Amino acid sequence: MKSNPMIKNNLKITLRHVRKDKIFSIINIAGLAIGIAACLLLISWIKYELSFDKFHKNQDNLYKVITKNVYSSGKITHFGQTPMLLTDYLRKNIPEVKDATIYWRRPWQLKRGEKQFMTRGILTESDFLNMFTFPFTKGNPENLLSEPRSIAISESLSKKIFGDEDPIGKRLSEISYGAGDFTVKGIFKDVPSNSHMEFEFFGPFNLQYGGYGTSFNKWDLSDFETYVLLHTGASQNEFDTKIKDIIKKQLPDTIEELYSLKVKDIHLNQDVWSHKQGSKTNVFIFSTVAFLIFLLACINYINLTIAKAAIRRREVGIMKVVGASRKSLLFKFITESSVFSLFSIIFGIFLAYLLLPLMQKLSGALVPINLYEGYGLGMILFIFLLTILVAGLYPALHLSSLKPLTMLKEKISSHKKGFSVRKGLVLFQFSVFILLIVGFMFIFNQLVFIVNQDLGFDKDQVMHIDLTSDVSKNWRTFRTELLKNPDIQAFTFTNTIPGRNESTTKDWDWEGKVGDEKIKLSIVGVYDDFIKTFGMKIKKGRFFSREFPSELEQGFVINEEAARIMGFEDPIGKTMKLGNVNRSGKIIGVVQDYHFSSLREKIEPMVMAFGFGLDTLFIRINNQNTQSVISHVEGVFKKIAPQDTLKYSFMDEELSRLYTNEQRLIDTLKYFTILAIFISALGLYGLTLYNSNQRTKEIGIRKVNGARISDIVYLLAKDSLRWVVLANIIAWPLAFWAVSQWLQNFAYRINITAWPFITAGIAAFVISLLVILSQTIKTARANPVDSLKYE
Amino acid sequence: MIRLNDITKYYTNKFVKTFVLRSINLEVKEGEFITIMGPSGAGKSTLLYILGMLDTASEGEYYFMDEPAHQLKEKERTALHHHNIGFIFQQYHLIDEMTVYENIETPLLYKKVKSSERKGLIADMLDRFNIVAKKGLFPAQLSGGQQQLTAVARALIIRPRLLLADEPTGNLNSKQGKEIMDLLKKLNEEEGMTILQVTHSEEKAAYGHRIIHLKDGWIENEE
Repeated sequence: MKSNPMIKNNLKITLRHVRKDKIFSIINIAGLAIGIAACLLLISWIKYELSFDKFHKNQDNLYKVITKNVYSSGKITHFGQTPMLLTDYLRKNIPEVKDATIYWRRPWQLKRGEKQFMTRGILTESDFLNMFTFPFTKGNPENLLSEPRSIAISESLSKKIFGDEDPIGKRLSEISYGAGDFTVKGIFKDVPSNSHMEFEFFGPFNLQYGGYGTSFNKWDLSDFETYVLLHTGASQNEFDTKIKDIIKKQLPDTIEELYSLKVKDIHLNQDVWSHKQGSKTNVFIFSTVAFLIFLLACINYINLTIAKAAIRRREVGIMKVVGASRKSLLFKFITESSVFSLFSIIFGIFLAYLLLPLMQKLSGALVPINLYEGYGLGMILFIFLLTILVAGLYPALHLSSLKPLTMLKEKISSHKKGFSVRKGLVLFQFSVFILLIVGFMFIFNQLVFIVNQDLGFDKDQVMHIDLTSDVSKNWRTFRTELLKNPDIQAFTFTNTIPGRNESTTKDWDWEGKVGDEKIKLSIVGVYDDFIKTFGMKIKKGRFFSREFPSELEQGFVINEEAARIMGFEDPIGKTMKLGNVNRSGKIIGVVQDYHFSSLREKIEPMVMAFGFGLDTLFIRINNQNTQSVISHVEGVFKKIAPQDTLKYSFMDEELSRLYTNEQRLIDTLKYFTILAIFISALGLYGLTLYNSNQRTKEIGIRKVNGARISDIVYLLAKDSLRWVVLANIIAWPLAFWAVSQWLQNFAYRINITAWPFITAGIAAFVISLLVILSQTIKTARANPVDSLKYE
Repeated sequence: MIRLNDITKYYTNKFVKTFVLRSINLEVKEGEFITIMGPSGAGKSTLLYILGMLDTASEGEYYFMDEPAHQLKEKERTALHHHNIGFIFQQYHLIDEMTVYENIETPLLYKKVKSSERKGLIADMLDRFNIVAKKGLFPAQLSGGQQQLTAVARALIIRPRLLLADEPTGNLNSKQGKEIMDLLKKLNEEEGMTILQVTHSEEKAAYGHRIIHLKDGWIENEE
C-alpha cells in the first residue's frame, strides 16, 4: 500500500481534530500515557521479581536443601541452614544428585597493606562453579576452589581494593577470623542484583577459614547451607522423599526434616528467609493493580472517545452519505486510535523512564526497563494492539453501525435511561477506584498499627554500635569514656541484633516437664543495664543484679510465653536447664513479652542468660542530642580503634527493616492509587461531558420554562451519582474479601472496620460531584437560546 | 429511471404503527426536474432519503434503473447509491475539519480514484463553480452560499445520474438561493441531470417540471 491517499487523509484529519479539541486530546492521550507508564513500570518490576536466579544455565535443576521443624503441636518452621555433613552424604547416597556444595556465608575483613575492607563472601566447594553461572572476566575458574588459599573476587571488589591494578596473583590477608593469607586467582562478574545470593568473593570451604573449630563437624549443628544440582529429568518429589529423614537417621530424637526448594523459587518464597526476600503477595497485588490501571486507562479512552463520538455523529453521517463504506469508517477510526495510541505510547515510555528512579527507590530494587528485549518490545506491541482493538474498535463499531440518516437528522439523540456499555464501563471504573482506596487504607492502617504496637520495649533512641576487635579488647575503657557523656544513659551487651539470627535451642528442660517434645527456645544473652537500655518491663521477680552474684551464673529470666509453655503459675524459683550451653539454674524473673521479630510472627518462648555470647553492643541515648552523642561516640571510638571506622545503626530503623515489603507496598501503592484516582476522575469528566452535551437541548427547554441552575445541577448530578452508589455496592464485598485475605499474613492485625469503606465511598462521591458541578454549571449557565439553536 | 410501487414507510413503537408514507406510486424519467412539496411532517424528506437509499421502505417496490433496490443487500444498495446518486442538504453537511478541496475530494477517495485523475476532476469542479480561490479554506470561513456551492460540487464530483436536494436553499438568503437554483436548472438543462428537490417555497418549486404535493404521507396531487 504505497502512499495510500486514505491513510494520508485520515492522518491529516486526525491531527486537525487533535489541534481543534486540545483539552479532549490532552486528557485522552495523557490518560492512556499515564496508564501505559504505570503498566510499564509495574510490569518491569514484576518481571524483575520473577527473574530472580534465572540467569543460571542450570536454573531448572538447581535446588537448595531446607530444614523443616515439625512440632507435635502442628507448628512448622523452616530454616535455610543444614548440617555440614549433609553435602557429602547427598553426593554419596542420593543417585539424583549430580553435584552438591556447601555454601557458607562469611563476612571477611580483608587487609591489603594498611587498608582494610569489610566484605561479604562465601566459602564453598568445587562443584559450586559447575552448578551456578558466575562468569569469570579474568583468571581461571578451573581448580580455583580445590586449591587452598586461593580466592576469586568480584569486579567491583577488585576495583575497590586494587583500583586499576591487575589483581591476579596478588595477596590479601583475612584478619577478623585470622584465616590468613589468600591469593587472588580470578575475577568474576558482579553477582546480578536479581539473585538471592550476595557475595563479593568466594574461596574454598574450610572450617578454619571461617573461624570455626572442627567441633562443627557433626549432624546436630545446622549452620551451613546446601545446594544441589539434580540430574536432568530427576524428580524433585523422589529426591524429597529420599532426603526427608536423613537427619532423623543420625539423630532419632530430632524434629528436623529436609526438603528441597528450587533455587529460582527462593526469592518469592515466604517460608525461608532470604536476603532480598521478595513477596508473592506484593507481586500479586501489583500485577492486579497494573492490570486494573491499564483497564482503567483503556476504559477511560473508550469513554472519552464515545463522548466525543456523540459530537462527531454528524461527521460520520456525512462520510456515509458521500460514499464511505463501513470498512473505510472502521479504518478511519482505527487510524485515529493508532495515532492517539502512538502518541500515548511515546509519551508513556518517556514518562516511565522519567519515573524509573522513583520506582527503583520505592521498590528498593534495580528494576530495569528494557524495551529492546523481547518482553519490552512485545509489551509495547501488545499495548498498542490492545488499545487499538479495545479503545479504537468499540467506538468505531458503534459509530459506523449507526444509520447515516439517524446521525444527520437526529444529531444528538435524546437522553436514554437504563444500562449501556458506556455506563457499565464508568461503573467498573468507579468500582476499581473504591477497591483501591479501601485496600490502600487497610494496608496503611495495618502498617501504622504495627509501628505503634506496644512492642514491650522502647525501640526509640537505642543505638547499636559495631564491635571491632580493638574495641572488644578495650571495652571497659570504651564504656567508661562513653558514660562520661550524660546523654548516654545506658550501655549493654547482648548476643545479636534483635530480630536477626537469634540464637535458639531445642535442647532444654525444666522442673516437672512432661513429654519429650522439642520446643524452640530463643536465648538472649544479656549484660548489666540490658533492661535499662531496652526498657522492658519485669513482671515478676527481678532482673540480674551484681548484688546477687550467684544468680548471674545460675539464674534465668524468662518471658511470659516461656512461663506459659512450661506451665508455671509462678515460675520464680523453679529450675531449668539449657543443654547446649551447659547452664542450669533457677528462674529469677519474668519479663513481659516483647516483639523483637516481625509482628507477622507470634511471640516465641525466650530465656535470658547473663553473659551469654556477648558480641553486640547497644547504648541508650537521650532524646534531644542525638547528633552530639554520635560525635562523642565517634571521638571515643577513634581513640580506641584509630584504624577502624565507626558503624552504628538505630534500633527503630533496624526494626522497620522487618517491614520492608509492607513499607514498599504502601509507598508504591500510594502513587498508583493517586494515578487511579486521577484516571477515574478523567473518566467521570468524559461521562459528564457526554451527558451535558446530550442534554443541552433539554436544559435549554427547562430553563425557558423557569428551572433554576440548582434544579439543573440536581437533575444532572442525580443520574451520575446513582452510578457511584452502585459502584460502592459492587466494590465493597470485593474489597472486604481482598483485605481479609491480606491481613491473614499477620499474627497481630487490625480489625476490619466500616469506616475505610465509607471513606472510599464518600471520596468517590465527592470527586464525582466536583467534576459534575464544574461541568454542569457551565452548561446550565448558558443562554437557553444558544442551546436550543444547537438543534 | 425510477419507479416506486406502493411504497409505505412506518415506525413501530409499542405495537402502534406510525405511518410516514402511504402507498406512494411514482415514476421519474431520466432528465426530469421534480419538486416535492408539502407541510411539515408530510414525509417529504423520508421519501427523498428512500430514493437516495439512505433509508429503506417498510413495504413496496423500488426500481432504480431497472434494478430492484428493495431486494438488494445493503452492500449492493450502497454501491448503487455511491455510483449514481448525489445528495445536497439544507445544512450543507460539510466536514468541518476539511478544506473545500478535501471535502470535494472525499467521495473520490472512497471510490478509489487515482491521484492524477482526482486532481483533474477537482480542478474542473472548482473552476466551474468559481471557488478556486477558496479551495484551501475551511467551511467555517465561507458564506452559506459558498458552503452550499461546495456541497453541490462534492455531490457532482462522482458524476451522479440523480441529484437529490433536501431544501438546498433553506438556509440561504434570496440572492444566494437564486444562484444555487439557477445552477441546478443549468445542470438539468445542459447536462440532462435528473433532479429531485424538496422545498417549502413556491418560487423555488417553480424550477421543477413537475410538482408533487405530499400530505400526511399520501400523494395529494401532482401539477
